[in-house]
Amino acid sequence: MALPGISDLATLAPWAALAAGALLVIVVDLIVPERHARPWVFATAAAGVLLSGWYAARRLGEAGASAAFAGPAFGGAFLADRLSLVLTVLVLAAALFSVLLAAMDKTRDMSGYLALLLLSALGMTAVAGAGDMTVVFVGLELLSLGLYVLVAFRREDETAREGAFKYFLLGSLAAGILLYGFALLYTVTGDTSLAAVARYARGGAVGPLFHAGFGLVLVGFAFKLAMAPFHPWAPDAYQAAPAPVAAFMAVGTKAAAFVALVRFLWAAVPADPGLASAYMAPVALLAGASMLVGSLGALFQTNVKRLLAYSGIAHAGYLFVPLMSLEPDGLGTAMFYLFAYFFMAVGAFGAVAAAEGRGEPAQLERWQGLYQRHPWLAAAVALFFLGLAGMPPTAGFTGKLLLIGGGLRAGAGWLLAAMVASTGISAYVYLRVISTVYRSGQEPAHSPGALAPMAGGEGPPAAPAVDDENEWETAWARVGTGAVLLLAAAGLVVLGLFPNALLDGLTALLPLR
Amino acid sequence: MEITFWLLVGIPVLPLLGAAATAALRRRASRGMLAAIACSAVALAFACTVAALIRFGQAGGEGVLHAPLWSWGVAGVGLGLIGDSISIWFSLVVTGVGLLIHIYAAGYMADDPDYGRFFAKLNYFIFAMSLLVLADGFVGMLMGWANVGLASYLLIGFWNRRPAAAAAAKKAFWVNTVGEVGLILAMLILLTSSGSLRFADVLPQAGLLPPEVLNAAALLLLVGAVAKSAQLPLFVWLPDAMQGPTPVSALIHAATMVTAGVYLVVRAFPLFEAAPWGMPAVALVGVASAVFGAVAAMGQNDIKRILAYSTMSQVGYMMLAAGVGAYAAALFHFMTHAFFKALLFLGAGLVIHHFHGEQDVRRMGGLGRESPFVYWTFLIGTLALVGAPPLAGFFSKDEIVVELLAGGHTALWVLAVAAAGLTAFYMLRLFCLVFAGNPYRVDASDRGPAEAAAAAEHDAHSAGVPAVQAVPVLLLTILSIAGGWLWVPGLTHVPEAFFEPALARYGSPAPVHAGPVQAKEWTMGALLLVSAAGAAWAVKLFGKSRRADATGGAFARAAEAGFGFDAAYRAAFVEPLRALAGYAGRVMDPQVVDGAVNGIARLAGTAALALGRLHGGFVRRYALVLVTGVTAVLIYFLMAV
Amino acid sequence: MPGMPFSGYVLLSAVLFVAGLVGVLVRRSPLAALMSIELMWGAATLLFVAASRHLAAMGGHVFAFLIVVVGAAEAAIGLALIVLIFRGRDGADVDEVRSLRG
Repeated sequence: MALPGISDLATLAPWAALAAGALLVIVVDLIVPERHARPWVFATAAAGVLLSGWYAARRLGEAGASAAFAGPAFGGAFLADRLSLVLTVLVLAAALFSVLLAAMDKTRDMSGYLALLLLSALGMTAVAGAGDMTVVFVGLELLSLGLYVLVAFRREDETAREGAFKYFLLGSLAAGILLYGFALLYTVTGDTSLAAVARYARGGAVGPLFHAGFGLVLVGFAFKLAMAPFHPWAPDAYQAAPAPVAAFMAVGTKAAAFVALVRFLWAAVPADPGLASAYMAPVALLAGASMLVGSLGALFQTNVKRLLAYSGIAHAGYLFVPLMSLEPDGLGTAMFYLFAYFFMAVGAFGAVAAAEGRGEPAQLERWQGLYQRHPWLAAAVALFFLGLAGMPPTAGFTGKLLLIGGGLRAGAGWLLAAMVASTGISAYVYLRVISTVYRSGQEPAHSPGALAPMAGGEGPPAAPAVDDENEWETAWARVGTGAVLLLAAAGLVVLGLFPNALLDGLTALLPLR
Repeated sequence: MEITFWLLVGIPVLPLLGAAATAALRRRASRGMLAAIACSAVALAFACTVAALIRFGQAGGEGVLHAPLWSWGVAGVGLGLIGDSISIWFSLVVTGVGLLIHIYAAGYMADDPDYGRFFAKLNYFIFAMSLLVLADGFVGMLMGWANVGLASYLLIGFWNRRPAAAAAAKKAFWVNTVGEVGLILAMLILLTSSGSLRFADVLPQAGLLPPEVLNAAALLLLVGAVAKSAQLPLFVWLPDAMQGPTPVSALIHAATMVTAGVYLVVRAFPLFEAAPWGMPAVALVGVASAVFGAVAAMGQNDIKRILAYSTMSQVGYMMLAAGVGAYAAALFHFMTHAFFKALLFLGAGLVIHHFHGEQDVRRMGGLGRESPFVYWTFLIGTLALVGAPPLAGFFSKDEIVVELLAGGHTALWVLAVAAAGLTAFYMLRLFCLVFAGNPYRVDASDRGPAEAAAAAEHDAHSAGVPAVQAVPVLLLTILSIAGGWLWVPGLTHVPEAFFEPALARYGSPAPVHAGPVQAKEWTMGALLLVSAAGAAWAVKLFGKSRRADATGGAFARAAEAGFGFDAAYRAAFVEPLRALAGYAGRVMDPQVVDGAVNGIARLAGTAALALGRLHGGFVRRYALVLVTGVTAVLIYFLMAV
Repeated sequence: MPGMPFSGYVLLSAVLFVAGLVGVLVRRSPLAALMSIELMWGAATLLFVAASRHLAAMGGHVFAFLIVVVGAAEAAIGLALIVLIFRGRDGADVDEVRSLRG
């Protein structure tokens, strides 16, 4: 392993900027007087994300569409290649949207929240760019530790604490499983790098310790992806988390763990075709189970965040449809769907956040008649849920179309049928939300008296205490939320109509195996 | 070319704009304004269709108008509109009959508080349906297919305060989902095997595909067609769909949407012909539904449910025609059926209004003397459906049944003729119970408060039929009389000539005439005789003496319950689904799960509960699930790899 | 290398790992559950170190250090969460935490 040089640090500019942003948020909070800290903290966090994104975009521009571009830093422990950069852009976008949405949160102490959000984003990008098992582990822990705390952020709320505790306990368990899998792989390969794993997997006889290690690592990643049957934490955690955090978890964690798992599969699936299909069979099984559990579980949910959690479980399954043959083209379509899911999920969770900010809790029955009270919000809900259901002209439709095409090329077989069935079932779920929103509501249902028991510890913002600054902040928060919804809606439709604009940039993200 | 493009695009887009406009102005514009917007949007779409027909005629009837719209950059997958004889024929009926029903609805729904929402949804349906029939490939057709399903769901459940309406909408949605899954799977098969989903690419080379692929594709397409067209065995949603407002039943669940299955079969006929099992399966579904629908209609007492089963039966005739290769006859019957069935439903709407919301034919009677207008128009519709010459149904039904005998399908012929007799019986029974005898009087104490309120509301209308409702009914009456004259044996043959080029393009062989030479004479004689017998029997039973339940107790009860199909579906599909969902989720949404299901659900419910404990909130149970999963994965990798 | 053969270390770590897994399932105290999870991490650490020694490669040692450091952070957050959730309750029983479900 060569010593890291100054060129490594230049390669790492996007990630360094992100880390610096996270630390600066805390510093700014210490320097600026408490009364005025809030806008500065937000501005710092947004600036850090934007600077990081600017670096990433510039490097992506340098890379062009060449498959040869790869920037291994630290002797291959971190791969700053196009796949990393694309994923980084996605995670940064999710982080930026979450920062904007978090402006709705009335809590005073936001610096910790934002710093943890940015550090989790850093963890996600590290996981996705990892070329070494150590980096995978550290990255996963970095993103998880931040999220455990973020889920519990409204700590006066009992459900938030409970969701965070469950997420933590199961997450640590899954981390232990992953670690033991890594240890087994290390035992047979003698090195912690994925390149060594690839060399071993291609180098003839593959031993039972390697099989077991692969299985355990697969489970570890499947847990982070919330794939059935390793999903039970997700609905609880999503429901407990503030909506912006849930949006960030849904998109960021899923994307990062997906890319890391793909890299791992690329390396560790043996070259022998028979063995390769035996290795991919459980992946297909997990994907199929996720689709069905996700769509069936969402069927009778009454909490919108919980419903979206189940929807995320199903979508995690869809991602694997074009990957069954481990071709770069399949990875491109899956990444396209990740972007489509990013717009849909961030939009849907953003709508939840916006509704909560307007005193509409995320209970489905409370959303009845939303179109009379907030027509634009209702329209946004309709658009995002139509996208989740896979209706044109949204990217949900185009993405599913591409997934199906990719699945046909990859010979996904029964997995495609499971996807069609799951889509059929979940169409009902999403249309139920839309028809609830567009049903005439009875007016007394949302009187303040009815609201009180639902609001948990936080309660509706106390009206008399509003000072000038608070009002000004609320206005900004509305602008931020509106911008998120607008951008997500625009992205969803533009991506749906002009898929090639993005798809062309997603070719050959990984070399042929 | 330019004008053609905009004409084709205008047909679906104008109603979509109308839907958007009515939805947006729902609260601001007056009722008259809303109705005017909605109706003129459909009227413009109809005008576009007529103009497209003229352009099509100028092109010599051979060419195909084509408007490519969008491509997603996936080979063989795109969206475009096509104007050939089949599309234009369907589109004419959809927009034409749609326009008449829109006008009628402007009067019928006049008292509804959600007037604007209703017209927005109705316009949206016209958009979806015209997209379905105009799409140039399976992708566009699927979009239309899904959207008509959504429109149907929304309109059946329009009165969503009624639990029955919400449940019916849900049922329709699920059955249609089954159909859509079949359709998508068929599309996947076609895309893999032929590399494209455009009709112009797939259909001409359908014969080149291996037979097992063709069988799978054709049967899966048929699942879609059966679900949408309410054929056996997926018809259960249609009778319940009558919970929607009557204009909706007329437009969606009689005239247009339920014939989408027929459109699918006719459109993809090269596939069905090339598949060894394709045509027999279609014919079998058709004849079974024709007979079953007629039998079931005999036992119903709700006026709209009788008409719903009748629709199932008549669509069965169309399927049967398509299944023996008589596509022109199927399309002809589709048109005449749209006329007289829409007329009957609109008439039923007038009847229901007259009887203050009562829908049970046993509690009606004597309407003939009180409202001659309804009497005569309904009579024409009835006779057209029964097939009395020279009304529309006579010629179109005759054409189908003749083809059966001419093609040598004697067994199918016998069943089709028998179903015609049953048709005459149930329609005349309906007619006599409603119009003959003495008026049935209900005292107000018999009704629930809601019905009484509805009755009070409608009292103002019972004086006479307002012009806005009378005019569409009158026009449909004229069409039900004259619509059949397009194809009078020996005189005119408009449909045959119109469809010939479109059918010949994919090399449809001329129907084989293996049957007796006098097929026409025998058929006409048999049909007239059997229908007359059925009608006479019904008039004898119900004409003077009111024996409403003369069809027999056990049979009537069985028919009322849909011959056990509903219960069987609940046991086979709904309960397992609930049990599964109970595992993955736990909460049973009281709005979603209706009371009827709850009663039978005891057993499955306990199973779901036991499974649901796995997700009961205990973190250690989550861990158990996790560890079980890990163990399974480890065992797999250590033992099986 | 005197003492236990390498396969013995593999076996020992596997036993520790399974013991940790079972511990999570059967212990109702959140602290015991946390300790069981630490046991699983420890099993992995042991395997890394033993393999590193056996293969005479340094990677495993590095990984072992990382696990220890990250494990400390993990335990800190875990204990904080446990205190947060069980502070207001009489006993500490993970089965009592189940208001989120479905």
